[in-house]
Amino acid sequence: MSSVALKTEKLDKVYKLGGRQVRALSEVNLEIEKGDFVSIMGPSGSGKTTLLNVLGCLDKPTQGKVILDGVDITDVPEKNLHKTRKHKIGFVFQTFNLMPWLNAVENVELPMEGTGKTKDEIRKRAIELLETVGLSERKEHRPQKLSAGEQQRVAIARALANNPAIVLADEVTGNLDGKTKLEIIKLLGKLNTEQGTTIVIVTHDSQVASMANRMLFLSDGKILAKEKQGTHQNK
Amino acid sequence: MLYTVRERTKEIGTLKAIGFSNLNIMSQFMLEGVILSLIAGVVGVAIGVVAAPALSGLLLPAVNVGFRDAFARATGTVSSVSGIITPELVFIALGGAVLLGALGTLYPAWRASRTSPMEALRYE
Repeated sequence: MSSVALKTEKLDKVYKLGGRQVRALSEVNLEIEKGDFVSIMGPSGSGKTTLLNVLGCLDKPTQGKVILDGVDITDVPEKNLHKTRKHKIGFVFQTFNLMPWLNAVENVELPMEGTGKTKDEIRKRAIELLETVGLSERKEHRPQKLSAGEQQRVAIARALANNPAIVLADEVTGNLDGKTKLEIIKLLGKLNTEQGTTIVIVTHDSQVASMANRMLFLSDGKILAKEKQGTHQNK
Repeated sequence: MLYTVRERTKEIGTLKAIGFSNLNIMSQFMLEGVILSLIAGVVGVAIGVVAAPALSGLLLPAVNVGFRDAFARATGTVSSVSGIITPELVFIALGGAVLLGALGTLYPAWRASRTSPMEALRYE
């Protein structure tokens, strides 16, 4: 078992935009160890979203490899990619993206559907996860009855449902106020320390980024050589 | 249904990002389409049950009823131009509603399943 959760080799992404070629990613080499908590910082237009889409199997790179949990996902055929997304990746979005007609528990259960687990096992796991993120009292509430911070906690619980190799968090504090923002990042830190969850957060917020263990910087589609130590300590 | 698919683009994108397959998405929309048309069918039949006797009185005055009975006697069939609702008729109406509903949902459901998750997530 390698100790690398995610690795990219010379990742390139080129878009064609009205006849003009835009290079969104350029030779990105990343290596994220299992159990690490990494932030990737960059201004808008630096390629953050593109990078996250490629890492999360939502977009194919033009060139290069993405090795997730030992498997090169650029080799996985399109029709099987949903399995990789389901089992290896946990997404957390800026706008939470919970299903409005499902309550908190049901939202967390969603990714576990069709994984071979029984209904009881799924329910038990979902309740445990909600306890982990500190929402045991709000299990039956629908998203519109939850505060923004609570919704993001549900989304984090959902991302953890299938024990993914990596959690990809896209600007997860972008819609939260200052206090809630810190709570959510602390929660991610706690999950990282206590459960060894590998987390990558992408953000333009330097305060948020500095609360990770490792800070990487993306500029014009390139990962800069300078790298900083954040305030978070891995176990 | 097409409108619904557009309305729910972001939701489709999210479901795909968290691991739902094209088939999952397609069957979800098909199921909704069929249930919706079944409900519509039931409502339609219910209205029919109430309205048919009243309307047949309007549309088929006594003269025609006489003609109908004569026709039925002559041909040995039960005339279909009657206000009587038979179980078969209800069954055909519901079946027709579901079938048409399913057919009408096929394309929107397929469109939904082909949505690119990346673009769908960016959609507001």
